[in-house]
Amino acid sequence: MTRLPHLLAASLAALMLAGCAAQPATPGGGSDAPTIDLLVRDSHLRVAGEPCSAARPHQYIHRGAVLVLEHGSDRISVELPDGEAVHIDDIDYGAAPRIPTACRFRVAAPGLDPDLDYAVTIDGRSAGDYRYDADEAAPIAVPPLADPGAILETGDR
Amino acid sequence: MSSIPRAALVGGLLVTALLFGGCTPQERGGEDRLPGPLPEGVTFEASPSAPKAPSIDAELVDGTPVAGDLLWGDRPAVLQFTTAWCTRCDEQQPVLDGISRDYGDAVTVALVAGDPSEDRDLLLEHLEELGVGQPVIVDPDLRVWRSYAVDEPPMTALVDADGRLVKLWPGGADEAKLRTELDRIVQRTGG
Repeated sequence: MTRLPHLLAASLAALMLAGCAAQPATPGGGSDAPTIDLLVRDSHLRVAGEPCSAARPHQYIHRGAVLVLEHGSDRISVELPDGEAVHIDDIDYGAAPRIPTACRFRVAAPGLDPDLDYAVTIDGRSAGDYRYDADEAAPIAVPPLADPGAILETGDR
Repeated sequence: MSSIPRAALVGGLLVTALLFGGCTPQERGGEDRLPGPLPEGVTFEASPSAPKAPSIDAELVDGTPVAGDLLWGDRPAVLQFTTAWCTRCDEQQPVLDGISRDYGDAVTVALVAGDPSEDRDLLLEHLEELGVGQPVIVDPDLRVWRSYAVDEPPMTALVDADGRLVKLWPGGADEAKLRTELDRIVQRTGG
Protein backbone atom coordinates (compact mmCIF):
# COMPACT_ATOMS: atom_id res chain seq x y z
CA MET A 1 0.00 0.00 0.00
CA THR A 2 2.64 2.52 1.00
CA ARG A 3 4.75 1.39 -1.96
CA LEU A 4 2.19 2.66 -4.44
CA PRO A 5 3.38 6.30 -4.50
CA HIS A 6 6.93 5.08 -5.03
CA LEU A 7 5.83 2.83 -7.87
CA LEU A 8 3.89 5.67 -9.42
CA ALA A 9 6.81 8.03 -9.09
CA ALA A 10 9.16 5.49 -10.61
CA SER A 11 6.72 4.86 -13.45
CA LEU A 12 6.35 8.56 -14.10
CA ALA A 13 10.10 9.07 -14.09
CA ALA A 14 10.54 6.21 -16.52
CA LEU A 15 7.84 7.61 -18.77
CA MET A 16 9.40 11.04 -18.71
CA LEU A 17 12.78 9.65 -19.60
CA ALA A 18 11.46 7.33 -22.28
CA GLY A 19 8.83 9.62 -23.72
CA CYS A 20 10.66 12.92 -23.69
CA ALA A 21 14.23 11.97 -24.41
CA ALA A 22 15.46 12.68 -27.92
CA GLN A 23 16.99 9.80 -29.83
CA PRO A 24 19.48 11.34 -32.24
CA ALA A 25 21.61 9.19 -34.50
CA THR A 26 25.01 10.58 -33.74
CA PRO A 27 28.07 10.43 -36.00
CA GLY A 28 29.42 6.96 -35.64
CA GLY A 29 32.91 5.73 -35.22
CA GLY A 30 35.26 4.52 -32.58
CA SER A 31 38.53 6.22 -31.87
CA ASP A 32 40.30 4.30 -34.64
CA ALA A 33 37.63 4.78 -37.32
CA PRO A 34 38.93 6.48 -40.48
CA THR A 35 38.27 10.19 -40.56
CA ILE A 36 37.10 11.68 -43.82
CA ASP A 37 36.24 15.17 -44.93
CA LEU A 38 33.24 16.30 -46.88
CA LEU A 39 34.27 19.55 -48.51
CA VAL A 40 31.56 21.75 -49.95
CA ARG A 41 33.33 24.09 -52.35
CA ASP A 42 30.73 26.85 -52.32
CA SER A 43 33.23 29.75 -52.08
CA HIS A 44 30.92 31.46 -49.64
CA LEU A 45 32.10 34.47 -47.65
CA ARG A 46 32.54 33.41 -44.04
CA VAL A 47 34.78 33.96 -41.07
CA ALA A 48 37.37 31.19 -41.31
CA GLY A 49 37.10 28.70 -38.47
CA GLU A 50 33.46 29.40 -37.67
CA PRO A 51 30.75 26.73 -37.81
CA CYS A 52 29.05 26.59 -41.18
CA SER A 53 26.53 24.80 -43.31
CA ALA A 54 26.71 24.59 -47.06
CA ALA A 55 25.55 27.63 -48.97
CA ARG A 56 23.20 27.70 -51.90
CA PRO A 57 22.83 25.60 -54.03
CA HIS A 58 24.01 22.98 -51.54
CA GLN A 59 21.82 24.06 -48.62
CA TYR A 60 20.73 20.47 -48.02
CA ILE A 61 24.20 19.77 -46.59
CA HIS A 62 24.16 20.80 -42.96
CA ARG A 63 24.37 19.49 -39.42
CA GLY A 64 22.05 16.54 -39.08
CA ALA A 65 22.02 15.62 -42.78
CA VAL A 66 23.03 12.00 -43.41
CA LEU A 67 26.09 11.06 -45.43
CA VAL A 68 25.86 7.53 -46.85
CA LEU A 69 28.67 5.54 -48.48
CA GLU A 70 27.53 2.36 -50.23
CA HIS A 71 29.32 -0.47 -51.97
CA GLY A 72 27.05 -3.37 -52.72
CA SER A 73 25.60 -4.44 -49.41
CA ASP A 74 28.18 -2.43 -47.46
CA ARG A 75 26.58 0.70 -46.14
CA ILE A 76 28.13 3.34 -43.91
CA SER A 77 25.81 6.02 -42.66
CA VAL A 78 27.01 9.06 -40.75
CA GLU A 79 25.14 12.06 -39.45
CA LEU A 80 26.98 15.27 -40.26
CA PRO A 81 28.18 17.52 -37.46
CA ASP A 82 28.59 21.26 -37.93
CA GLY A 83 30.91 22.18 -40.76
CA GLU A 84 33.92 24.42 -40.33
CA ALA A 85 34.69 27.33 -42.65
CA VAL A 86 38.12 26.76 -44.24
CA HIS A 87 40.26 28.77 -46.65
CA ILE A 88 39.98 27.94 -50.32
CA ASP A 89 43.03 29.89 -51.42
CA ASP A 90 46.10 31.56 -50.01
CA ILE A 91 45.19 35.11 -51.01
CA ASP A 92 45.76 37.78 -48.36
CA TYR A 93 42.37 39.43 -47.86
CA GLY A 94 43.76 41.92 -45.38
CA ALA A 95 41.48 42.89 -42.54
CA ALA A 96 38.33 41.53 -44.15
CA PRO A 97 36.65 39.33 -41.55
CA ARG A 98 34.71 37.31 -44.10
CA ILE A 99 36.69 35.67 -46.84
CA PRO A 100 35.96 33.08 -49.55
CA THR A 101 35.73 29.71 -47.86
CA ALA A 102 34.60 26.14 -48.28
CA CYS A 103 32.55 24.38 -45.62
CA ARG A 104 34.30 21.27 -44.37
CA PHE A 105 32.50 18.51 -42.46
CA ARG A 106 34.86 16.12 -40.71
CA VAL A 107 33.37 12.75 -39.81
CA ALA A 108 34.49 9.36 -38.58
CA ALA A 109 33.46 6.58 -40.96
CA PRO A 110 33.76 3.22 -39.17
CA GLY A 111 34.27 0.24 -41.44
CA LEU A 112 35.49 2.25 -44.42
CA ASP A 113 37.46 -0.08 -46.71
CA PRO A 114 40.29 1.49 -48.75
CA ASP A 115 39.90 -1.18 -51.41
CA LEU A 116 36.35 -0.27 -52.29
CA ASP A 117 34.73 2.43 -54.37
CA TYR A 118 31.73 3.82 -52.56
CA ALA A 119 28.73 5.57 -54.01
CA VAL A 120 28.14 8.66 -51.93
CA THR A 121 24.81 10.25 -51.15
CA ILE A 122 24.05 13.18 -48.91
CA ASP A 123 20.51 13.66 -47.76
CA GLY A 124 19.54 11.21 -50.50
CA ARG A 125 21.29 13.17 -53.27
CA SER A 126 24.14 11.64 -55.20
CA ALA A 127 27.59 13.05 -54.53
CA GLY A 128 29.62 10.82 -56.85
CA ASP A 129 32.02 8.04 -55.94
CA TYR A 130 34.65 7.94 -53.26
CA ARG A 131 37.62 5.74 -52.41
CA TYR A 132 39.36 6.26 -49.10
CA ASP A 133 43.13 6.64 -49.10
CA ALA A 134 44.69 7.11 -45.68
CA ASP A 135 47.83 8.67 -47.19
CA GLU A 136 46.28 11.20 -49.53
CA ALA A 137 43.17 11.74 -47.45
CA ALA A 138 41.36 13.42 -50.32
CA PRO A 139 38.00 14.83 -49.33
CA ILE A 140 34.61 13.99 -50.71
CA ALA A 141 34.18 17.15 -52.73
CA VAL A 142 30.89 18.83 -53.61
CA PRO A 143 30.89 19.72 -56.42
CA PRO A 144 33.37 16.98 -57.33
CA LEU A 145 36.93 17.77 -58.31
CA ALA A 146 38.08 17.00 -61.83
CA ASP A 147 41.28 15.75 -60.23
CA PRO A 148 40.52 14.14 -56.86
CA GLY A 149 44.21 14.33 -56.00
CA ALA A 150 44.40 18.07 -56.49
CA ILE A 151 45.99 20.01 -53.68
CA LEU A 152 43.40 22.01 -51.82
CA GLU A 153 44.13 24.98 -49.62
CA THR A 154 41.90 23.78 -46.84
CA GLY A 155 44.01 24.53 -43.82
CA ASP A 156 45.29 21.50 -42.00
CA ARG A 157 45.22 18.95 -44.82
CA MET B 1 -13.80 3.82 -4.38
CA SER B 2 -10.84 2.26 -2.65
CA SER B 3 -7.63 4.20 -2.30
CA ILE B 4 -5.73 2.00 -4.76
CA PRO B 5 -8.02 2.62 -7.77
CA ARG B 6 -8.10 6.30 -6.88
CA ALA B 7 -4.31 6.39 -6.79
CA ALA B 8 -4.22 4.56 -10.09
CA LEU B 9 -6.65 7.09 -11.53
CA VAL B 10 -4.54 9.99 -10.30
CA GLY B 11 -1.47 8.29 -11.67
CA GLY B 12 -3.14 7.78 -15.02
CA LEU B 13 -4.12 11.42 -15.19
CA LEU B 14 -0.58 12.45 -14.33
CA VAL B 15 0.81 10.19 -17.03
CA THR B 16 -1.64 11.62 -19.55
CA ALA B 17 -0.74 15.16 -18.53
CA LEU B 18 2.94 14.39 -18.90
CA LEU B 19 2.56 12.73 -22.25
CA PHE B 20 0.36 15.40 -23.74
CA GLY B 21 1.50 18.42 -21.81
CA GLY B 22 5.05 17.88 -20.70
CA CYS B 23 6.45 16.17 -23.77
CA THR B 24 4.45 17.72 -26.57
CA PRO B 25 5.91 21.09 -27.45
CA GLN B 26 3.57 24.04 -27.22
CA GLU B 27 3.65 25.81 -30.54
CA ARG B 28 5.80 28.88 -30.36
CA GLY B 29 6.25 31.63 -32.90
CA GLY B 30 2.56 32.20 -33.66
CA GLU B 31 0.27 35.20 -33.89
CA ASP B 32 0.37 35.90 -30.16
CA ARG B 33 4.08 36.67 -30.52
CA LEU B 34 3.52 39.60 -32.86
CA PRO B 35 4.16 42.99 -31.26
CA GLY B 36 1.35 44.90 -29.61
CA PRO B 37 0.30 48.50 -30.20
CA LEU B 38 3.04 50.96 -30.96
CA PRO B 39 4.26 52.61 -27.74
CA GLU B 40 3.56 56.29 -27.29
CA GLY B 41 6.40 58.75 -27.65
CA VAL B 42 8.30 56.73 -30.21
CA THR B 43 9.12 57.99 -33.69
CA PHE B 44 11.36 56.56 -36.36
CA GLU B 45 14.15 58.02 -38.41
CA ALA B 46 13.71 57.37 -42.12
CA SER B 47 16.37 55.93 -44.40
CA PRO B 48 15.17 57.37 -47.72
CA SER B 49 18.21 56.27 -49.69
CA ALA B 50 17.76 52.60 -48.77
CA PRO B 51 16.01 50.32 -51.30
CA LYS B 52 12.55 48.96 -50.61
CA ALA B 53 12.62 45.66 -48.74
CA PRO B 54 11.41 42.63 -50.71
CA SER B 55 7.76 41.97 -49.98
CA ILE B 56 6.77 39.05 -47.76
CA ASP B 57 3.70 36.91 -48.30
CA ALA B 58 4.03 33.96 -45.96
CA GLU B 59 2.68 32.37 -42.78
CA LEU B 60 3.69 32.11 -39.17
CA VAL B 61 4.12 28.65 -37.68
CA ASP B 62 0.49 28.68 -36.53
CA GLY B 63 -0.77 29.42 -40.04
CA THR B 64 -1.37 33.13 -39.49
CA PRO B 65 -0.86 34.95 -42.79
CA VAL B 66 1.91 37.47 -42.55
CA ALA B 67 2.95 40.22 -44.92
CA GLY B 68 5.65 42.83 -44.79
CA ASP B 69 3.12 45.48 -43.76
CA LEU B 70 2.30 43.48 -40.66
CA LEU B 71 5.96 43.22 -39.72
CA TRP B 72 7.17 46.74 -40.42
CA GLY B 73 4.39 49.07 -41.72
CA ASP B 74 4.39 51.27 -38.62
CA ARG B 75 7.67 50.26 -36.97
CA PRO B 76 11.09 48.86 -37.93
CA ALA B 77 11.61 45.13 -38.16
CA VAL B 78 14.56 42.86 -37.54
CA LEU B 79 14.34 39.63 -39.52
CA GLN B 80 16.56 36.73 -38.58
CA PHE B 81 16.89 34.01 -41.21
CA THR B 82 17.43 30.75 -39.42
CA THR B 83 16.91 26.97 -39.30
CA ALA B 84 16.61 24.38 -36.58
CA TRP B 85 20.03 22.90 -37.38
CA CYS B 86 21.95 26.18 -37.48
CA THR B 87 24.33 26.34 -34.53
CA ARG B 88 25.31 29.96 -35.09
CA CYS B 89 21.62 30.92 -35.24
CA ASP B 90 21.20 29.42 -31.79
CA GLU B 91 24.20 31.37 -30.58
CA GLN B 92 22.62 34.59 -31.81
CA GLN B 93 19.20 34.00 -30.27
CA PRO B 94 20.19 35.80 -27.04
CA VAL B 95 20.98 38.88 -29.13
CA LEU B 96 17.48 38.82 -30.58
CA ASP B 97 15.99 38.22 -27.15
CA GLY B 98 17.86 41.26 -25.86
CA ILE B 99 16.58 43.40 -28.73
CA SER B 100 13.02 42.20 -28.12
CA ARG B 101 13.33 42.97 -24.43
CA ASP B 102 14.96 46.38 -24.77
CA TYR B 103 12.99 47.80 -27.69
CA GLY B 104 9.69 46.10 -26.87
CA ASP B 105 6.83 46.88 -29.21
CA ALA B 106 8.79 49.67 -30.88
CA VAL B 107 10.50 47.07 -33.08
CA THR B 108 9.26 43.85 -34.64
CA VAL B 109 11.73 41.01 -34.22
CA ALA B 110 10.83 37.93 -36.28
CA LEU B 111 12.53 34.73 -37.33
CA VAL B 112 12.26 33.38 -40.88
CA ALA B 113 12.77 29.62 -40.67
CA GLY B 114 13.97 27.90 -43.84
CA ASP B 115 13.36 24.36 -42.63
CA PRO B 116 11.61 22.11 -45.17
CA SER B 117 7.99 21.26 -44.42
CA GLU B 118 8.84 17.64 -43.55
CA ASP B 119 11.03 18.96 -40.72
CA ARG B 120 8.28 21.10 -39.22
CA ASP B 121 8.10 19.05 -36.02
CA LEU B 122 11.85 19.38 -35.56
CA LEU B 123 11.51 23.12 -36.00
CA LEU B 124 8.75 23.34 -33.41
CA GLU B 125 10.73 21.25 -30.95
CA HIS B 126 13.73 23.44 -31.51
CA LEU B 127 11.80 26.66 -30.98
CA GLU B 128 10.57 25.19 -27.72
CA GLU B 129 14.02 24.10 -26.60
CA LEU B 130 15.43 27.50 -27.42
CA GLY B 131 12.54 29.32 -25.75
CA VAL B 132 11.97 31.50 -28.80
CA GLY B 133 9.66 34.36 -27.90
CA GLN B 134 9.41 36.02 -31.31
CA PRO B 135 7.00 35.33 -34.18
CA VAL B 136 8.39 32.75 -36.58
CA ILE B 137 7.69 32.83 -40.32
CA VAL B 138 7.92 29.45 -42.01
CA ASP B 139 9.58 29.51 -45.40
CA PRO B 140 9.89 25.86 -46.45
CA ASP B 141 10.37 26.66 -50.12
CA LEU B 142 12.89 29.41 -49.31
CA ARG B 143 10.92 32.00 -51.24
CA VAL B 144 11.49 34.70 -48.63
CA TRP B 145 15.07 33.57 -48.18
CA ARG B 146 15.78 33.91 -51.87
CA SER B 147 14.17 37.32 -52.12
CA TYR B 148 16.58 38.48 -49.42
CA ALA B 149 19.52 36.64 -51.05
CA VAL B 150 20.08 34.33 -48.10
CA ASP B 151 22.64 31.72 -49.06
CA GLU B 152 23.36 30.37 -45.60
CA PRO B 153 21.86 31.01 -42.18
CA PRO B 154 22.07 33.01 -40.10
CA MET B 155 21.45 36.30 -41.82
CA THR B 156 19.92 39.39 -40.27
CA ALA B 157 17.94 42.04 -42.12
CA LEU B 158 16.92 45.42 -40.74
CA VAL B 159 13.90 47.06 -42.35
CA ASP B 160 12.85 50.56 -41.32
CA ALA B 161 9.32 51.73 -40.59
CA ASP B 162 8.91 52.82 -44.22
CA GLY B 163 9.70 49.32 -45.43
CA ARG B 164 13.20 50.14 -46.61
CA LEU B 165 15.95 47.58 -46.33
CA VAL B 166 18.50 49.43 -44.23
CA LYS B 167 21.03 46.65 -43.62
CA LEU B 168 21.72 43.00 -44.36
CA TRP B 169 24.21 41.11 -42.24
CA PRO B 170 25.24 37.77 -43.76
CA GLY B 171 26.43 35.54 -40.93
CA GLY B 172 24.09 37.34 -38.55
CA ALA B 173 24.24 40.81 -37.05
CA ASP B 174 26.86 41.83 -34.61
CA GLU B 175 24.89 42.95 -31.55
CA ALA B 176 26.64 46.30 -31.18
CA LYS B 177 26.12 47.19 -34.84
CA LEU B 178 22.49 46.16 -34.76
CA ARG B 179 21.85 48.24 -31.66
CA THR B 180 23.67 51.21 -33.17
CA GLU B 181 21.39 51.07 -36.21
CA LEU B 182 18.28 50.65 -34.08
CA ASP B 183 19.28 53.50 -31.79
CA ARG B 184 19.65 55.70 -34.84
CA ILE B 185 16.23 54.72 -36.18
CA VAL B 186 14.18 54.50 -33.00
CA GLN B 187 13.64 57.93 -31.44
CA ARG B 188 12.09 57.99 -27.99
CA THR B 189 10.54 61.41 -27.51
CA GLY B 190 8.21 60.62 -24.64
CA GLY B 191 9.07 60.45 -20.96
